[in-house]
Amino acid sequence: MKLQRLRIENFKLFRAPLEIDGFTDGLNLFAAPNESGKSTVAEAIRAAFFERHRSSAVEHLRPWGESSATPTVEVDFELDGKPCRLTKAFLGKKRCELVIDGKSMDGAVAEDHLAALLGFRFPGKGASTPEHMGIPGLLWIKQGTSHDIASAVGFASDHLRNALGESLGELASSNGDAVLKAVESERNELLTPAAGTPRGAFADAIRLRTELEADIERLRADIESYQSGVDRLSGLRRDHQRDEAARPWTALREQLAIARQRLDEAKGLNDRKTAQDAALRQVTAQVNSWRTQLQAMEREEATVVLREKNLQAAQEGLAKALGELQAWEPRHAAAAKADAGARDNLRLARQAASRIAQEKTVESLAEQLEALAQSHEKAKGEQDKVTRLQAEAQALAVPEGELKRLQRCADAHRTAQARLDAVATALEFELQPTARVQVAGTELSGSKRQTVIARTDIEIEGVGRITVLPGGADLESLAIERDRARDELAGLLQALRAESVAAVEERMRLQALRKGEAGAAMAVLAALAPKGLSALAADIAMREARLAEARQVLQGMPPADAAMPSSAQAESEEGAARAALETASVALNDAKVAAGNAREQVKAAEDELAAVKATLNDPKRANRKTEAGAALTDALAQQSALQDKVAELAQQLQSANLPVLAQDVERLEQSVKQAEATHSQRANEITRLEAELEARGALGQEEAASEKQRELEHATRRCAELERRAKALDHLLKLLREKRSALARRLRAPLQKHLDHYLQILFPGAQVEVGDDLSPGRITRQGLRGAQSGAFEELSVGAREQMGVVARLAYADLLKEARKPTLLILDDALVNTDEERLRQMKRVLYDAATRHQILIFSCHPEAWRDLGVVARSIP
Amino acid sequence: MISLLHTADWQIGRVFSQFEPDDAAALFEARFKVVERLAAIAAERKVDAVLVAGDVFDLQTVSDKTIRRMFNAMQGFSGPWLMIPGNHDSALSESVWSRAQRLGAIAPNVTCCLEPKPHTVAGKFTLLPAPLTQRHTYGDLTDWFATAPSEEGLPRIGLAHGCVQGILSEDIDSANPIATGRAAQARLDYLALGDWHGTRQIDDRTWYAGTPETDRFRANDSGQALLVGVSGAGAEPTVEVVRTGQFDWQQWEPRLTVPSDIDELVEKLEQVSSSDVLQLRAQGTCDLNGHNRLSTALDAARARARALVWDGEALRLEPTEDDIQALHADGFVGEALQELRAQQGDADAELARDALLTLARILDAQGAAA
Repeated sequence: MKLQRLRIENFKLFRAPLEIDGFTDGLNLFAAPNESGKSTVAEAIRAAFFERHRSSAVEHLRPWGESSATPTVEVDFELDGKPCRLTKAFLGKKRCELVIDGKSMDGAVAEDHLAALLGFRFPGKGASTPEHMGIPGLLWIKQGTSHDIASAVGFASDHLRNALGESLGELASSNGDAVLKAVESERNELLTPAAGTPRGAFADAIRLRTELEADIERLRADIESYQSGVDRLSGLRRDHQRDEAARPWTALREQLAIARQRLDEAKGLNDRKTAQDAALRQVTAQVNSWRTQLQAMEREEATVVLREKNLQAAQEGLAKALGELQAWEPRHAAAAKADAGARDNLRLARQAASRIAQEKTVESLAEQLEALAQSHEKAKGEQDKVTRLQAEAQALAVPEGELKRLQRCADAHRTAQARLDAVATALEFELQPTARVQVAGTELSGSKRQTVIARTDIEIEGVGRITVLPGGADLESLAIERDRARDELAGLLQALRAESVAAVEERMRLQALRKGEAGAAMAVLAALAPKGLSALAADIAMREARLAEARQVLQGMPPADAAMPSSAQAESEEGAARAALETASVALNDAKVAAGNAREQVKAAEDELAAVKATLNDPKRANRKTEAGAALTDALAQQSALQDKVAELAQQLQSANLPVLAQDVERLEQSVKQAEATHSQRANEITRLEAELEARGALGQEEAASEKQRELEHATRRCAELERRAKALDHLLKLLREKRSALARRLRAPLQKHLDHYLQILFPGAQVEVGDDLSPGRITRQGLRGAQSGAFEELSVGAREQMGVVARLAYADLLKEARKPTLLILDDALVNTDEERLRQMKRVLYDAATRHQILIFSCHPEAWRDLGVVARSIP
Repeated sequence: MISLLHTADWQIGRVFSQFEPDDAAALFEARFKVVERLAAIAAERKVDAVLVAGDVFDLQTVSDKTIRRMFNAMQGFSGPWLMIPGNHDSALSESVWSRAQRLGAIAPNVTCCLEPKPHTVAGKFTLLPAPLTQRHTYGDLTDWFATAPSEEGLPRIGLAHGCVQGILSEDIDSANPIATGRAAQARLDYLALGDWHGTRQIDDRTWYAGTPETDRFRANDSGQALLVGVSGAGAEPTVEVVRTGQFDWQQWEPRLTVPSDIDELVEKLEQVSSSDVLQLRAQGTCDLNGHNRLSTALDAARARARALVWDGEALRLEPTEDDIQALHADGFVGEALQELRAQQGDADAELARDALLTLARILDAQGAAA
């Protein structure tokens, strides 16, 4: 949409007609001071489009004090390439005419048609308010509203979504949100919105099911207890009838009577046995007493015999000890004598042994001396040989290095001679036997080869003389060199007094031989006299002296006895004799002590025997013994009779088994009691159980349980149905939300693109999110302190203002792409914007103006001077 | 010539918990009604006696009212009724029978045979009952029939509750065995059995009457009683099956693949009557439209049938393009719908189908509101 001409009359400030012509397609700047009518022009455009020509709520459009004027606006514009003219007259002569491409429309029809084209609505009645203004309400920014974008977007959102939707084809759902809302509300009836736990009817159904389950559980338990009661009753009745017929306690009572009788009999037997036991104990005590008395007397009598035996034994012991003593005395004397003899023998044997040792010493010394004297003689011979050989070697010695020098000299001479031979002129002769030839005065014959180094004359008889002159410059110097070497060699040989080099070498070999022989002789000498000849001589003298001394000692010793035993034998004989003596001494001493002891024992035994004999000889004692013997005999007879009786009674008692008889009685008494008690208890139990089961049976619990079970199954089915319903709704809700948000993302993408385009000019690097309502949401910018993120509402007024304009430009781009008409009007829209930002905004606007017609109204002409268009003034 | 009405397994007091309360109540009532009908048949056909072969009561501890109502329901026939306890109502030391006696609910013409001893009934035949006195018996209670004395020249009629060995091998209480060939072995002219809920002939002289009012979906030829004629001792009995049941229990398992399958099912549902007890287990696929039609038909049938249990767990929804257009499911709602359709192939197909149906319902409601 492009405005081309505007004409107003009787409109607020302008009573007279005002016409603005020549709007450009891009930027149109109206910069003028306050009160100059800019806002009136903007308001006229708005009124022309937004207000019903029939509206009575537009009194403010009249010029002041002109109560009968008819405010009139006429707008020429182009829409979708078609020329249009809108003429609107308010209040007085109300009129509306719209001509599009030559086709004319009138009144409300024209207004509604235009509204549909531009994307806004009219109010039912009264003045137009922002919620009706739709797209123009968003793009035509009234003074001081540019920063407030959310509500303007909201009022235009249907149209914007439409624009987006058309560009995306069939994706938008015509009634999707209503469906979503319906699903959500149905779902939230059954599940809590956040946690998704059952609520309402669903929760009630679950509660009911739980209650019923508990009821059934109780009923089942009751039924089970009832059934086990019935089973118990069957068992009890069966047992009762059996006992009633058999009466087991009667038989038990009969058994009890018999058991009691047997117990009483056994008890009588026991009493008698107790009495007999007491009598037996008394008699046994008497028997024991008499027996003890008699035994004591017998022991006294037996003592005399014992003592006599003791005495005899002691006397025998004494006799034996004395015998021992007599036997040991001569043996001891003999041992002492043998010991003295052995000791004497030992002394003599030791003396003889030391003499033999001395003789051996003398012998050994004499042998050593003889050997040393021989060594001394040989050593002296060797000493002379060494001296001679060393002198010979000395005479043959050639000075150090002379031989080497001589050899070098000989080499040099040989080399020089060889070189001279190499350059010398060779003469070969093949002579007739008869020929006579002289070379350098020497006669030649036959075949011969000869070299010459100097002028040589060859005289051939009958021929004459041929002189050979050998060529070569250095022949002469080579000859000199050879001669010098020959002279030097001769000199050296002469100094050594030798004929030739080989002779010198022979001398050297001989000298080494002599030296070797001298060394061998010295080694022999060293073996014979390690410490030298004089030391050897001293050693000989010393040994001679020692030999003399040893011979003297030997002569002082007594002469040897040939029968003398060896000292070792004598020592062993002496040891044996000493041991025998010691043994004999100990034995003799022991025998003496034993004899003493035996004498003491004999004395003691004699005393004891005497004492006992005195007691036994008392006459009263015999009477007492006779009386005691008679009393014991009586008591023993009595005891035997009683023992027989007691044994018989014990035998009877054992077969009766008293404790078992008592237990029998006890056991049978209890059995009778129990049998009777059980029977009566069972009868009571049966009566009680019958009554209880009758009462419980009458409750009809199984039927009730079946009914409850039916209710439970019903409740369970209802729970399952509700759960299915809830799950289905929940699933559906999640799915719808998912799809919706995916769609929203796709829908917002084009808007995002346009928004980003402008944002990069205004705030390079910034990012803005597009909210669900399509208004700008969170913005992230690169600031001085890094990335900063905040909601649109948190921005400064200036920034919001700029973002507001930027967003509107983006919406315009979007609408344009959807082939919707766009026109932007900025009525002092950037008053809070600083100079720097305004510069960026101008770039933004200039860019947008390549796509849209933009009308800018400002009271700061100087701020917009660099917009690239001439500011227009209001005439 | 004697004539008997043989019935069994009344299961008075059984509660059908799988149905809605009103249906369950009606089915509970039907068991009393059928006793009335049996009494009427007995009276009409002038039988010599009615034999009830056990499981008269479903439970031991039913309410006094239930006991009285049951015996009241028998009033229509004043001839002899001979009943034995079965495994559900065995004659324990304290049982539904002792309670009935205490209540004085048992009319003089009703004989509850609680002990195994012969009865001569109206001088016309000897009855040999085999009552259960324990919940389960592993010995054959009809053993004594062979040696039981009977009045000379009178037919011998056996009455027992249990499982004939080797014939009904499964699906019944397999305790309480009855030897095969018992009728011949014990010289019985007729052996009236209970326990098997369908009518079933075992041999020339041995029959299960079945329950007179069907109580389960498994097809088993139930809801009947037997009119037995015995012309004299040793003569082969004549047996006539009489219909007694009020309700027809049916189990449908339709497989839905094409829309005409739905048509067929809807048509079938339209035929459902008040005597039908129906269990419907559908499988296969259907579109939303088909599902709607099916739901409507089910609702209508549910209102007509005595009871209707619907199980659509195995049914997969395949919304067609028409369905989706009809629902105006465009945009993200449309995407959600498509995803749910796909999710039916996943592990939680039921959840996806439920969600799909919910979405369809809400979209439908929104469409209606708009």
